[in-house]
Amino acid sequence: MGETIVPFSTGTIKVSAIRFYCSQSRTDGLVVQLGAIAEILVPKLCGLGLIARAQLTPFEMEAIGELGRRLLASPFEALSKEFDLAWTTEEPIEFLRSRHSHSFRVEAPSIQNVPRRLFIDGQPVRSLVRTFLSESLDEEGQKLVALDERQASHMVKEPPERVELRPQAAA
Amino acid sequence: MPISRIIHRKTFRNFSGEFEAIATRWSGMRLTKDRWTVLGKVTDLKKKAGSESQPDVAQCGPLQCVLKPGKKETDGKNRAAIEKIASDLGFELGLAVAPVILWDRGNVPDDQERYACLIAWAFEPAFTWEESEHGLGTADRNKAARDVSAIWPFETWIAATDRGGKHLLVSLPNADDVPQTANIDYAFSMLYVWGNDPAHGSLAKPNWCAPVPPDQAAIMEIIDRIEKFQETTLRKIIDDIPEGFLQKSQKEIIIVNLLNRQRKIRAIYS
Repeated sequence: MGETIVPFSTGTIKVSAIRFYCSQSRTDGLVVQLGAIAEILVPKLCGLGLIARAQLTPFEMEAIGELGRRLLASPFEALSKEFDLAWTTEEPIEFLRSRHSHSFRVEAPSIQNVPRRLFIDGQPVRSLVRTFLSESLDEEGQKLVALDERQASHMVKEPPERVELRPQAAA
Repeated sequence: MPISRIIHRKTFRNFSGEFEAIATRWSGMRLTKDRWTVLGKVTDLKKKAGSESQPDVAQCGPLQCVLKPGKKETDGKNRAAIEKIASDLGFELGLAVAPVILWDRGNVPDDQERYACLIAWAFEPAFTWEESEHGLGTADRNKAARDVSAIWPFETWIAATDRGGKHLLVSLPNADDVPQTANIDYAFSMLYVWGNDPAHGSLAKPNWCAPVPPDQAAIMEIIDRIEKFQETTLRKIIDDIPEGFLQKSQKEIIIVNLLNRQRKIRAIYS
């Protein structure tokens, strides 16, 4: 960036994939894509969104073991409960990453600045922030589908989604 | 292999076959000589949210393990050595403690720890107790009770602190199986608690016990095994830790404390 340019600090969005490693000790084990979670932070607002598969394929259900079947038969339902827990914390994705780091993992997030178009007169517009969060989740959902063609063919094409916004707590 | 070891493992550990093989091999070794590649952080979180040691994942061939500590610590707590000693003592007692081997990483950047350890998962897939608790019914807990209860006197013996649902891994391949369990993260035990005190007197039950019906027979059997634990075996496990990982004076503090505590555990559980 040139010396004459002043960077605008508007906020960030973090997006993490949520995966299940059936053989977490092996580099060549089956990895089941469960969904993605996104966290947006702009002045005065923070938001959390989740997109996840409604169900797993019979093949995947077989691969994740009995305990996995009990916990993750419906990834969206299971992750919605995690969403509720995370929503009460200051750093939802970090909370979930620390909670799930063995077979069931919330991966390291990609972090990007949010676009300027979400702001009018320097203030974030709630509806635009919400839409952007939802769009970012949809995009991540498509990436997950594209990651594994074999699993993609079984993946629910329109996975359920949850987006919530709340005022950002004062520092 | 001594018959006693086979009986021990069948009684209180239920690792998958290939990981039992790793546990057996690693219990007879101190250092890995293999070439491991560090893949990245399990989590890159600070202590308030994640693991204190910020572990990495390391890979050798097709095997991936957890590498600890993932950052340089200057507090002299010798985390890798403590993890290794806890694992080897647990193996000798036939308990479900995850396999650990030491790794001298040689020249590493200043912010990383040269004297590290690798921890193998004991089965696949693996959940923490914390994340899977609501999926375990009464029947599962009853079946897991024997292996889970047996660890408690051991944790008293080694003065394990910082126990919790994050430090007990669980798997249940099939509905009728006995749940597989593996205890991890013993860096905050022994030297961490005893410091330079060669006769630390305090003994207590672990600060967290998984909610299973206590199996008193298993608890008493492990207490019996701890009481009969041979001093020569104890000394070998600890004295064989290479000097870089643990100083001679620190080894002696651990040995003396473990020997002093051997016959005091029964009173805690009676």
